[in-house]
Amino acid sequence: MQLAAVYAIPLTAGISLVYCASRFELPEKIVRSAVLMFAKTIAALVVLYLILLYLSR
Amino acid sequence: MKDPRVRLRNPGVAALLAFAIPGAGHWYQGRRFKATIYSVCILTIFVWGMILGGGQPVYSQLIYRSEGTAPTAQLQASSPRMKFSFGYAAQVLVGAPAWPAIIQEMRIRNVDAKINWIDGPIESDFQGLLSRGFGDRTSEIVTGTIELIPANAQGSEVVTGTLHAVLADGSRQELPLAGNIQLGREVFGSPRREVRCDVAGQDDEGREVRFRLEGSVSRSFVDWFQAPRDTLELDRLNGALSQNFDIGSVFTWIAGLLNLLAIWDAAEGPAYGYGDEEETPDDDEPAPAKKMN
Repeated sequence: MQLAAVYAIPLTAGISLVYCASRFELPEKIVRSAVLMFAKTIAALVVLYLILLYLSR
Repeated sequence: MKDPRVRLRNPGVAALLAFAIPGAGHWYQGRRFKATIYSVCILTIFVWGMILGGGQPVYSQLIYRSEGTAPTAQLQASSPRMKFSFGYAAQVLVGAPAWPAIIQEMRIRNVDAKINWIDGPIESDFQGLLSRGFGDRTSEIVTGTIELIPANAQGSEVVTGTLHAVLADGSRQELPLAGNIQLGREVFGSPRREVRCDVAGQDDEGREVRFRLEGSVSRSFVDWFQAPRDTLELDRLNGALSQNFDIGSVFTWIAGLLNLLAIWDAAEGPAYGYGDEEETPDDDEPAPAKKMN
């Protein structure tokens, strides 16, 4: 989990910022939507991780 | 979506600049905030991937050895058989940082490999195997440094020089080189350049014999960086770096694909609009039910 987080968190942050920058022009809107996308993606990854953890028990 | 408030200047030039260097197109358009986001995020992901992959995840072609012509692809004199690496289709979108792969591909296609030839002296570290006997052939691991000197100043098929060998038991020996050389092609996607030659030595009874040396010397950075490589080199990378090589490769693909969004934005403007439009309810929300009288 720690190793995955080292890669996943900064990568997700970078992808969210670039994706949202390509959707909007206003800096505040870009940052706000990037934070939201980052949170949703990390939450989805955590859920996926927990499912896999449960299945591998 | 084209918004009149977004100044695209010349969209074609901006797209080309964005392709060349992530963020450069937006900088040209005066969209400095987005230029910073694109350049910092995309280049960081790309460089991070390169570091994870030992500097070797980017290459445009995979080399296959022609059957029966040479022991390895590096020691193959004929034109190499190559296949496009599909990962490069994503990596090349990151622009200039992935362009050396194209130059290296041109070099490997256009420069004839002189496998049985040495142009000038080479001094390098060495790692490989020394085969000591011809009857009861046994090999031992040898490291150390090597001086490869062509028999003629203009270059030669025959090599002289010395192997300053450190043997597996820790003992040191000075072994003079003698005989024909096989040297891996100059341009190849591996930091190690294969070398094979004979070594003059003595057997257990003190008779002069020739041993066989097979190993590798260092290849210069400009000759291996982003150059086409074979599956043997990929196996070595996977063995040495484990999953980091694959993760690094994926990072470089992602960086290239993200720059595609930046190129599109430089040419067409932001996809959803300026960002101050009133938010409308999602289309998939159920419409309010109508009152039935």
